[in-house]
Amino acid sequence: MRGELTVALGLAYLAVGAGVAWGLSRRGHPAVTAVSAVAVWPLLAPLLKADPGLSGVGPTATRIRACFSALAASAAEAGGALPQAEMAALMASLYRADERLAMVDRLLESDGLAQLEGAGGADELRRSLETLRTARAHAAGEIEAVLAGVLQLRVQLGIQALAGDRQPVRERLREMTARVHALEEVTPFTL
Amino acid sequence: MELLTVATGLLRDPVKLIEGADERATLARLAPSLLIITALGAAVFGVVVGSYRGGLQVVFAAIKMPALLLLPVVVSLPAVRALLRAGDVQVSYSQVALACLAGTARTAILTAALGPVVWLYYSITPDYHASVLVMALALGIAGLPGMATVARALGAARAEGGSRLRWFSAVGILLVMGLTGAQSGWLLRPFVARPTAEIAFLRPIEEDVFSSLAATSRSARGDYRGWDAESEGLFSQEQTP
Repeated sequence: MRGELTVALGLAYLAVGAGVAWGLSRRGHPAVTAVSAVAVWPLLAPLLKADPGLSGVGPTATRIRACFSALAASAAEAGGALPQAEMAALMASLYRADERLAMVDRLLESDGLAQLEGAGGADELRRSLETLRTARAHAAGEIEAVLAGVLQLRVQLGIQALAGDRQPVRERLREMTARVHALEEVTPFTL
Repeated sequence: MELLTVATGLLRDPVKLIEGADERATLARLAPSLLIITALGAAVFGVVVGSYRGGLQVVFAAIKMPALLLLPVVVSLPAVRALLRAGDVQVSYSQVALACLAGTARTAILTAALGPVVWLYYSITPDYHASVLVMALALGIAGLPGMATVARALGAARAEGGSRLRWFSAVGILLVMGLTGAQSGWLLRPFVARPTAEIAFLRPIEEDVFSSLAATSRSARGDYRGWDAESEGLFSQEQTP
């Protein structure tokens, strides 16, 4: 009886784990995460709600993380809490923009394109690549500008620690999110 | 390279490694590395522990050691969350999972680091009971910083709340994880098998870890009473006389 109960519980645990693993793999999480979920699904279940696109692998991912960590630390030091929803939305937008930069970088550095361009490829291809590089520089500049804005928020937090008004921080975060969103909308047409 | 970066972060400042505005994104980014580090670090220690008996026991111990580190975390996760809620500590499930994973991975690295010391001790062919105690001691030494990482990470994540009760939560978490860790080790034994014993992946369930450690401590001093283990608990097997 006890042995059967143990087996039934074990199978139920593995079945839930298999379900979580399937869900994670469908959401594009790495294979190691999905396979591990069969055994340790209670630890990885929150990822079913997470967007794997926010993993931060682009050229500015480290700076994005650093900026937001510094902002959170400043907020904690100032004794206040940042509006989490706005923070998460801005960070998610920045990561998406950053990953598009990474995708463009991979494209520009691919062997085929570099060789073709180096060998004096077609004029149309060269013009397209030039347009792509310009668009990439514009997107990177916008990300940098928003990151500078995030750092500016740290200063604002210091001022607010004295004035006690929290509303402008929320508005500033929304403005920056809108700026990055605009980048998402403009980039396809620019490209 | 990513693994090395994460491992360095775990040893230098694990709390800083796992902090971030979006904890789910951080969990998604770090989970693969933390799980691989846990598996590799614990497997190295398992190989060392299994080398006391040698043969297939090396493989068995290397397979079971990662489970020994992860099982207590998985089992005690709801209790940890409940203790944090009771202590008025405002953390999300993702933050708890991330902190536990980081703590486990840190423990795994430290157990691997203690591997050479344990291996050196085993190389002088000590008594079986002393070998078990040294393994338990090594796990305890490596486990404390790991559990401290969990407590610190969850304390750091408490930016929006918390009270004096959080200290009781932290102590409760350490106790729950320590006890479940010890009992998990008992359920997954043998790791250190007697040189003359038959190699087995798992042994039948008998009594609990504390009675065993008491008996082992006595045996290490030459007193061999108290080895009449009895079957107890929900998952124990019926013992026929």
